[in-house]
Amino acid sequence: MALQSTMKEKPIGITPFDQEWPVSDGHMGKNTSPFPRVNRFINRVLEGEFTVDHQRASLVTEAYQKYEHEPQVIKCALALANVLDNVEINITEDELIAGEMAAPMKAAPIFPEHSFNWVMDEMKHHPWHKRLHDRYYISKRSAKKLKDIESFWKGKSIDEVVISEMNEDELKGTNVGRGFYLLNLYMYGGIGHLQANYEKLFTRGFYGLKEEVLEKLEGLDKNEDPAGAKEDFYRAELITLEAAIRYFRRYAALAVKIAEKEKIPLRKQELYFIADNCKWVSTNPPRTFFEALQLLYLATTILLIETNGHSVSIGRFDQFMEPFYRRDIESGEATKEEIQELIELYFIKHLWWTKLRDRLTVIANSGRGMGGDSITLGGVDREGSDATTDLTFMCLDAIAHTRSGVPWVAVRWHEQTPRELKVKTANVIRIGTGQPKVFNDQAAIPASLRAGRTLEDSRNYHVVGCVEIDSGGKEYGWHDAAYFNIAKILELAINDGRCIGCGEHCDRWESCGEEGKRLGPQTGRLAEFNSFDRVLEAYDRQMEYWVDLMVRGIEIMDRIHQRLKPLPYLSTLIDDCTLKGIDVSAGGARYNFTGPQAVGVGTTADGMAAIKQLIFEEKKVTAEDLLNALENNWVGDEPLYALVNSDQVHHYGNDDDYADELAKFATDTYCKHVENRPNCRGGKYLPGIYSVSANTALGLTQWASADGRVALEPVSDCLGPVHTWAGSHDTKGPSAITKSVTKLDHIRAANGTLLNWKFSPSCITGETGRDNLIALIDVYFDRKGMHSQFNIVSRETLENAIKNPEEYRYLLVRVAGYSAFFVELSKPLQYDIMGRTELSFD
Amino acid sequence: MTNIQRFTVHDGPGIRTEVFLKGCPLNCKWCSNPESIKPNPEAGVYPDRCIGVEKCGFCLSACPAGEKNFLVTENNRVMAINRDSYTACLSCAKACPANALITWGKMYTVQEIVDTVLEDVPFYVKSGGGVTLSGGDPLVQWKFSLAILKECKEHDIHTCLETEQHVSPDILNIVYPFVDLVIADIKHMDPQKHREYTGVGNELILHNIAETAKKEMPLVIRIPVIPGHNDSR
Repeated sequence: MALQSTMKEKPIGITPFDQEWPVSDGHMGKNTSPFPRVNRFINRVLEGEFTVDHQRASLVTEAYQKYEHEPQVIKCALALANVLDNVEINITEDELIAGEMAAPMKAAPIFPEHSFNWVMDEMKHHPWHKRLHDRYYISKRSAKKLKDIESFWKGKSIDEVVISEMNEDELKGTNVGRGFYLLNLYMYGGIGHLQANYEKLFTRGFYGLKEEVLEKLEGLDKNEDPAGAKEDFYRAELITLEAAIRYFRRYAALAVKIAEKEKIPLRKQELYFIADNCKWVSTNPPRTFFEALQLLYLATTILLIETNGHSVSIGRFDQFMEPFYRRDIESGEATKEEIQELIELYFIKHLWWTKLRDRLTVIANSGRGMGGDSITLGGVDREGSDATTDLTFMCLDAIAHTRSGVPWVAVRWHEQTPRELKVKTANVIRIGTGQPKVFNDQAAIPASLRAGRTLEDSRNYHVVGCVEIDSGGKEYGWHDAAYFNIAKILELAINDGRCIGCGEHCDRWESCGEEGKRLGPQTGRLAEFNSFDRVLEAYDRQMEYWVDLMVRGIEIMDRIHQRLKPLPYLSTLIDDCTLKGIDVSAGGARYNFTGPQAVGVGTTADGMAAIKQLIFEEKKVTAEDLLNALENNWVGDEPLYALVNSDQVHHYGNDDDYADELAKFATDTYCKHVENRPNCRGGKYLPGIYSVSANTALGLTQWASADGRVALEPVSDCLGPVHTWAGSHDTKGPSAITKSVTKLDHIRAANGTLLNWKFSPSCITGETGRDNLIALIDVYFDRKGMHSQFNIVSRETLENAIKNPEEYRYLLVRVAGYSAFFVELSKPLQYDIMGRTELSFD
Repeated sequence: MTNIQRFTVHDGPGIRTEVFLKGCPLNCKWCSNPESIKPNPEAGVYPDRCIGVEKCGFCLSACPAGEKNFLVTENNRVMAINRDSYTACLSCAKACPANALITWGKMYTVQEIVDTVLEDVPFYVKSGGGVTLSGGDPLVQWKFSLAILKECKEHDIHTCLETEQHVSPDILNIVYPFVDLVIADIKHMDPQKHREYTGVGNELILHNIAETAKKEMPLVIRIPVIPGHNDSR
């Protein structure tokens, strides 16, 4: 009871709010938790190899064959049920929260209904255990089982159907064509990028959800549902809910079975605890924090078994778990320390989930985690008051203690965020795991309102995956619909719709360049333009053309997902699918968005600045010279290459309006053509401006560019300034970057924005360093920047890690939106991270 | 001015903008900013940025001295400037596309400097920072420094003056009303040693520091520890 009164005064974790940890010590597996069980648990998870498991694929295939003639939504429900009923399950040592993603710990299940050709191709020709990074092993038995189902899926997987239904124009710019906008995530995988309505699940339990569906089914007016689509949908929902209940009970039974054989009394008791928890929450609302956590984990895991979309997020953990926490503390059911330990064990359980990605995707999106399983902390509540709780602090402590990189934690700051929370956030950031990222309510809430969400829902936003603002439990946001390279648009705009570097090396040469064709519309060549305004006009026209095509492609994918992969289980957990009788994939959610992101802001801005300054104003270079230099990849034009990479040319990121206004034009033009387009789920398109790590993949398909990039080099990351192999284009330090970046309209980029910071450890040590870091974030946020994340690591450490990977096995770095083990990243990504300007304030 | 550096955190409290003015009355052997000792603009060399005189060579063509230019090249790169005969016309630096040759010291108006300082006011407010005048020694151009300080105080910006104190006490009396914090070095207590390593004696410096302290001016004394010079008694 005494605790409650202190809580009301000031939330606090189990450590002092200003507890400091060593700066730049983002290594996992160094026994950093005060709880021995947590440390053992971490070390056990780190030990095992990642594997590929056939069970889910086999069981889904079996159901698809058996129920071939059932309506698609029923077939999908029965397939999920078949997996949940028959997949092998395990409970491992030290576990308190049970559950697996239809495969053992660190084993990747396979989703043949999404895509299977690449799985077979890689298994046979590019074995996963021979990869340089993102390595997986597969047993002979699993490999055989996967081969057995290969013929069944020919022509049936979503990727094959999508590619066959897109025409030449719709394909030519995509990852299947020239590769300057990427649709691969939703072409080959599920959508994800959402949060289930946990508040509803916690209030009603699975039994309550079932009742809701039954009520709707019984009240269904046959005249309003002549084709029986709604009836099928409700029946499918029921099938999945009943399967979920059975799945929980399988874990309960397993726990009892292990308990009976267990010799150690304490562990025996724990196993019975697990059994009781699983059994109770299989139908009922949870009563304790422990039960709520069990329900949260396993209910989420079923979402991941239903579809492999990543960025299935947890949402505002410190809000919806708080009533259970408070009840437990008040009743004496649990101590704060016990709850802290549970949170840490729960964090580690996120390492159970893994996703096998294809060998091209892993070049840009390295990391074997499920990805995007985000938790959001802090911020304001639905009424606009500060929402900080004890759990806010305890989750941040859990990052410091586990250093696992999962779940991906976002802390929301607003004008009244307590100083204590800012200090705690900064101290955890300084450890250098890249966690947490920091979001700005002052930008995110207006952006959410602009997107059309209500004020309450906007205040209650959480962060999905890397960057995206989402109304948890009510939204199907397609937040990762595409990555679109705007630097390529500038290239086409100065070269009459042709690629620079067009030649036989290109996959499309025979059908395009050799035939005398051009990729995009004819908008003139730089050498023909009599003013810089003509460049901007051509950029605008190219943008319109390509955004049109991108949207057509996305809409085709969307319709095919609706047709082939309804998600009845997820539908029970997203408002208002059951209410409307419409599957979440088909527009059942209250909010339906589609979010494609612009990539290459800095590259585009600096390219425009070089053209404007050197060709049209100073006339130091002719248009023909520049185009030739680019065609020749700067070879023979080294002085020009050096010049555009020097501070003699205006560059974005230096608080220089000349270049910053071009960056604004570049992104505004993208937003203008994307925003407010309708999507086929009754919602609309929301532009985002960030790359995550797609800037490396998009760089690999683009020849030299006017900003001073050589062929195939990454384009600039997220909102960051350009750093080419010749050097960084930002030279004025963090305050200038802050001002440049916030000249862009973050509120307009309603799907999200991101700025990556990299600091040398020495410049943020001590209390002064901490307070300067807080001041920097404060100013960025006062200027309506939306989102920042931080790498606290020296170039030296990264260089050593490349040389001696064994010594740095568990060194975590921030990629963009997520943290990953540095030595497991692909080489292009390692060098891209190393090349980001390291800010030291000397 | 040699440089204006935003977001510095080591010379004074909080996040600051630091203005490095050119010219210094001392000539310390260990100087960390030797390019700021001479008051006039001069060319500087960064050999590792040079892209090669064969591919470029713009500096050599630009040099008015023609064949007898002042640039020292080695392995196809500009490595140094022969300062003995160098005339500081800066043509080579203006011609270099790669910033391998650059100009140390540029002419600015007070307003241009103050405008840059004002860009970061929100950072000063959040962090308790402000502006720091450094150098060289900002009091070599004391009238210019005074004008900057006055303007900054007009805008209520915290001001810090990093000076060698080798200057007439009258100048300090004129400048101090616009200064919130003084940073000064004591490089040695022995006048002879001081002269040996910095080119000047320490009498005036110590006098000024004592006077500064008497005025209750907030003062930070720094001692650069230089091996062989002042690292033992």
